[in-house]
Amino acid sequence: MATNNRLKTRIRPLFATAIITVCGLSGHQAIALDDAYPTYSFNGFATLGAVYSDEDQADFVSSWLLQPNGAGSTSEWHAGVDTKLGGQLDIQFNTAFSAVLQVVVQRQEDNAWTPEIEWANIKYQFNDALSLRLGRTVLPTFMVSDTRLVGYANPWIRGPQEVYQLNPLTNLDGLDLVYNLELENGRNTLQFNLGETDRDVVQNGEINARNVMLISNTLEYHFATFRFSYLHAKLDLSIEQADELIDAYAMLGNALSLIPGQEANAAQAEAISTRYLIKDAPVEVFSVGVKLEPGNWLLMSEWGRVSDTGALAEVQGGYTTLAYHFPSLMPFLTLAEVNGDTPDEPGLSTTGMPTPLATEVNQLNQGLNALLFQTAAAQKSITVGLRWDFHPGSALKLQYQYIDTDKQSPGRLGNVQSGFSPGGTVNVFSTAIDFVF
Amino acid sequence: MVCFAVTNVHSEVVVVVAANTSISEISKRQLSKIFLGKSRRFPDGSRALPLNQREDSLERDSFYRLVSSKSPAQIRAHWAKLIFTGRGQPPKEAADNTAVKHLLVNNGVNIGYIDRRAMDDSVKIVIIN
Repeated sequence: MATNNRLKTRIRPLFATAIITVCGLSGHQAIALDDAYPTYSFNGFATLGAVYSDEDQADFVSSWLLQPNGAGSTSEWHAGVDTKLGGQLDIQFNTAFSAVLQVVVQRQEDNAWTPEIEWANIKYQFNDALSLRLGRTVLPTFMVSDTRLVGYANPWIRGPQEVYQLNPLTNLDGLDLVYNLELENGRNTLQFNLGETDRDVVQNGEINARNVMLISNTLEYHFATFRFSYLHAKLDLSIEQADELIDAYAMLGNALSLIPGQEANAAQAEAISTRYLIKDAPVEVFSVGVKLEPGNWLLMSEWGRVSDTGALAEVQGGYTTLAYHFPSLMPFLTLAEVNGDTPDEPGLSTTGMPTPLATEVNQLNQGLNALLFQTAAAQKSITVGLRWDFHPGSALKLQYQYIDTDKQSPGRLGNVQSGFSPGGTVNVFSTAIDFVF
Repeated sequence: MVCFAVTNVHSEVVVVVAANTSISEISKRQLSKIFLGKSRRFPDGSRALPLNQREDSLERDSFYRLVSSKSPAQIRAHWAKLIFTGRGQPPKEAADNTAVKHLLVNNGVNIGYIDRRAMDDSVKIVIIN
């Protein structure tokens, strides 16, 4: 009796002041008695993290497009790589209609901790199998895209960058159609997303994806999960480093076309500027993933490939994580690799140019190659880590990553300084406490 | 941890429904799906509305070990996944065995679990096969 009364009285104040009071409630009290719609539930997640890197000419960042700096060159230890706070409000209007709002605070491309609306959508559940969401939803490129920001739900502190950086976009404004088929020993989920998204990136840049179409299928069977996804979009990407180079080639092309004898070079300069411009460029992302959880073991592996798009070379990456669940400790090991087919770009020929101009063109060519290597950045890494579920809803994680960057690029490091020499190794130590509440 | 394991052995949970419910047996697999948010239905197609016990209660630990062989930490991470994918909320929670029996009888939910020693005729044991 007492329990029932408690439940009923709790629902009433929620009606009146959902947004205000909801922050103080834990997630488990969303008592959806049939006569009590709408119901509200609030859940939150947070990560407090710190990262150390021994590379002093570049920064370890969660994504080189999304974070302007991090651990290493900027400061040996950095707390802004993984730290974040998120809150999610779920409203169930009736058995079919519901809505979700998720707001996340994390360090943005301009170093500010600006709250962003990660998800805001309404959902209509037609029946057990079919549902439609409209609004801002997750962009489910990879296996843990859904919980990419919720450290607690993932084994590692952050998804292996070799794969998860292949697509820095995390949400989509549009529609999301899910067809769920319940099987005797599992479930199959077919998902279709359509929409567009844009995001500010480093170097005063912006990434814009339009006509995004993503189809993915997840089969859960016994202890195994198999997933694939295919994404197609039209992409615009502007960052200062790339824009300046591309503009310089275009201007050079114009100037050279006025000089007798330089017609061939003019045409080549023009071709280079067109070739590497990322404007309305079609891009494809293909990914497959497998997760096996027999007993206390966890084996997880994903592979993804992004097609060649302007200055972004074709890149492919993969990782495998092996972990074992002890009652509250989980040690894990991750092997990962990413590499790109950097175009063999000789740059603009300096034939027949006066020496001062030739020198400038050579510098431009070097800049172009540096950009191409950056976007196709290759690295291999080994990570060993430990997750300790020390308290309900809280996990402490420690992980050490040994990164081997390729000979010509800074790998997946960001904020690369002029003194950086490629081909080295980097030791990264990360620690984080993840909460859900 | 050893202490927990020993206690768990002695806390035998039984799956229960309201006494007037037609369900009398269920497979362990179906039970696991219902309590992990992977299925909304009983095998006969009727709506399943599960009720959990308090987090960290012995009954809850024993129950989830029985149906899913996952540790409390794994279960918590599982629910975090479902909540933050917008795919569902964990089952409602009751404070103790008495509250489970009360809520089953008074609707809103229709399947739960209690310590065998708390059994009385207000609820019915469901056989797991």
